[in-house]
Amino acid sequence: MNKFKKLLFFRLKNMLGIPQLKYMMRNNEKSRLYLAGFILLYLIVASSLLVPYFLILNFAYEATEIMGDTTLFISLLASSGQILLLFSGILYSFNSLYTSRDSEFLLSLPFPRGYLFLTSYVIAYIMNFFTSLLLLLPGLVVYLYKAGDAVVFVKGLVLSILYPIIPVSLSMIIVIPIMHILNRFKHKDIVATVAGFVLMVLFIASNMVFSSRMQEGQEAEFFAKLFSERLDLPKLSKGLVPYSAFMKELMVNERTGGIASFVILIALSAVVVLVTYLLCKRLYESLLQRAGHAGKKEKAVDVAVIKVGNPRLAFCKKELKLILRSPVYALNCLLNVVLGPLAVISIFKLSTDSKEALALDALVEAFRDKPYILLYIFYGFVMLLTSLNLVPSTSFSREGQHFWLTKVIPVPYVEQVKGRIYASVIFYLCCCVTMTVLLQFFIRLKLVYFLSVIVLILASVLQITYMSLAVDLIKPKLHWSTEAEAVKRNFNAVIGMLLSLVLVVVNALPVVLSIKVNADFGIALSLAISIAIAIFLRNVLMRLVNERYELINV
Amino acid sequence: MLSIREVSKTYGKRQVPAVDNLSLEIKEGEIFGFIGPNGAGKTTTIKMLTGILPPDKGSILIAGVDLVKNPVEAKRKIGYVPANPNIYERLTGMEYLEFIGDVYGVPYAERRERINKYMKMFEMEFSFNEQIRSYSHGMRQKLLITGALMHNPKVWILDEPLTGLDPRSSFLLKEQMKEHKKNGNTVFFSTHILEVAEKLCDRIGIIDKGRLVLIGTIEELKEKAQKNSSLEDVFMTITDQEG
Ligand SMILES: Nc1ncnc2c1ncn2[C@@H]1O[C@H](COP(=O)(O)OP(=O)(O)OP(=O)(O)O)[C@@H](O)[C@H]1O
Ligand SMILES: [Mg+2]
Repeated sequence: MNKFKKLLFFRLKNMLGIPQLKYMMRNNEKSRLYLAGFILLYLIVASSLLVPYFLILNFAYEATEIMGDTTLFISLLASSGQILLLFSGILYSFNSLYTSRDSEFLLSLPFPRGYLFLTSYVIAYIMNFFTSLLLLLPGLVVYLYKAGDAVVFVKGLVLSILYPIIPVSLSMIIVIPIMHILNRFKHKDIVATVAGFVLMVLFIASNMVFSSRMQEGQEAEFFAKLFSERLDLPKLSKGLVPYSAFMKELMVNERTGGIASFVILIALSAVVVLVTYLLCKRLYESLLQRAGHAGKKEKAVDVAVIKVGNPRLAFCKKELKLILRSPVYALNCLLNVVLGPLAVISIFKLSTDSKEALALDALVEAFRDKPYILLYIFYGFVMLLTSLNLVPSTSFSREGQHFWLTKVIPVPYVEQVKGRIYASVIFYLCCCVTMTVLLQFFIRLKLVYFLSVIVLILASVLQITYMSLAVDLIKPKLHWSTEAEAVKRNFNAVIGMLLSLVLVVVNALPVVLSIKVNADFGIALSLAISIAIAIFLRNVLMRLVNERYELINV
Repeated sequence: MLSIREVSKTYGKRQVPAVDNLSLEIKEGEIFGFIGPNGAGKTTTIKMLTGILPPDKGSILIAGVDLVKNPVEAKRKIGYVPANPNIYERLTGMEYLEFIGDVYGVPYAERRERINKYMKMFEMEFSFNEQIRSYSHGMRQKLLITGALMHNPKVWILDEPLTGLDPRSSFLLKEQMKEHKKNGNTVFFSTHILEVAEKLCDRIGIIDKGRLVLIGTIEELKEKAQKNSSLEDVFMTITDQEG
């Protein structure tokens, strides 16, 4: 048992990056500041997500009031939380099982069989426990505030300990066989990337359809109608998450029914844990032992087909290949390529059959005589999504332990960086060209404005590329062991995105300021300024390259 | 061909320098072996020679070109095989070689000839089409060796090249080093295998705690260390005295 605890803490600490944090805390003032900034940023992002969540919960509660049974709110909370936890559980399990690099090392340690799976299981549970707190607590707070029932609140806290067990177990049972199947594919990375994108598209599209059906000021009615007519919530939550009935009983029933439900829930969780353990333990170990086996048929090299190119293009090609071949890079860096066009279509197209589409058309028409506003809606929309790209802001970091090669080869650093610029711009264009074409189809700017917006977008893309590359060059994160660390746990990615948004605002500023005087003049000014900024940032980057590249040690 | 003049390097804010006032002169057509205990500063020296680490002071000339003042020109004359074969795992061996060929500007005909030669020699015809992720340590090393020789460098620098190679491949590598020397080039490598150094090298340098403590041909070394019978004895006495 002692050994188990040690293994568990060891893996947990590594997964949460605690040794790294400790090192940073101990190290010096600068990295402590860096850390504080990072935490602050996360808090800001988290709280900006919590606010809409509270709002939705509030509407949902009001909806149950309209329907005349507020305990429905508890059912809703319990069952929807279980479904969300299943998704996050799949994500966590996949992350810890698929992308972790320590598994081979762990296999070699003298632990009893089953410990490896069991620790992964417990870790997934702990991660999901925190997620479930994030999901449940706001709901409980809303209920406490609206219904004034403190007992439910306390019971909810107790329940939150049991709460993640079933979804985590199910996600393990789902993920491990999937990984077995994935392992058999010839190009499993491509399969994983495509599957990831499909999931993402489904998730986002369903979200957008959902929110496009809601009407301003009538959210509660919308939920009430949705719950009672379209979905028949009580039946649905029982159908999808049958045991959520016990959770509701436990929460709202103050007599023996509540206690009985509690006991049933405990027993159920125990059974599920046991079944999961027995089912997955062996499967997981055989998976670990077989990971990385490629069943591909080998083909001999044909030297006649060797290609020749120049150094700059070689760098660009290398970047493109590395990003597209790694699921982690592709999914994180190229989110916007999928998201952008999807956002345009769902906002302008999916809603054509509803009233809001008319409103949107009317809006566009209303601004017909103020084309500069349309132009900036157009520009803002494209750039907002384009700037989500992480390719340039992690470009040097992604080199990691391979960085030595970039210093050994006889290619001036400036040339190498130009190759990186090409690759980033190509990925940016993938996003904004499709978005621009689609938006022009819906908004129909006059030619001269359309050309202006194109110039503006191109200038912004260059600005963002130069700026993000500079950010990553100043402090690249070269010490990482998994690809996920290079892009996800990279401060530069966040800074790059924030600064991109700042640049977008700066580019639009001249027009906003000169609307009263002459908007066309404002547009011209804004074009000139954005081009000037692009040139300026390019010079800054090239100067930095000459100064900083040499100092990066590996 | 390769001259190192009073080069020093200290990592970060450490007290002790990793390389301390090192001077070396290596001639054309010479195989030079660099030996010394763990942490002596061999890798650090090699990293400075290849332009990975800038030296704190001193100068390095590669075939007459100053590495600090004219890095691109100097790097063109170097082929480097690192101790840890870390390369882009998601490229195939062939893609890596094409990348290297492009960045060194190797013409098509030469590229084709050299890749063909080493691929056959190392028996990697099938592996070069696979992603580097699936390579063993030795296979990665073979790929890096092929890459380093693609542009026929004047100076070939290797850091512990023999670790991880099977007997046959390490024989082939040694032959390759001799051939490189015969063509009028220079080979500089670090190793822990004293027999190899003894048999292969024209001259040997022993480094300890960042300082060059002994340099010369095998015979000269043995003489200086009071007629000890083998390089191993020389190594033991020299590095012991220093401690
Ligand atoms: N990145 C680094 N940061 C700080 N110190 C380093 C770094 N790399 C090496 N050192 C230190 O520099 C000294 C020389 O290291 P180096 O790697 O050059 O030794 P070496 O002769 O190659 O040893 P080995 O035979 O083990 O490969 C050592 O004391 C080591 O601790
Ligand atoms: Mg070394």
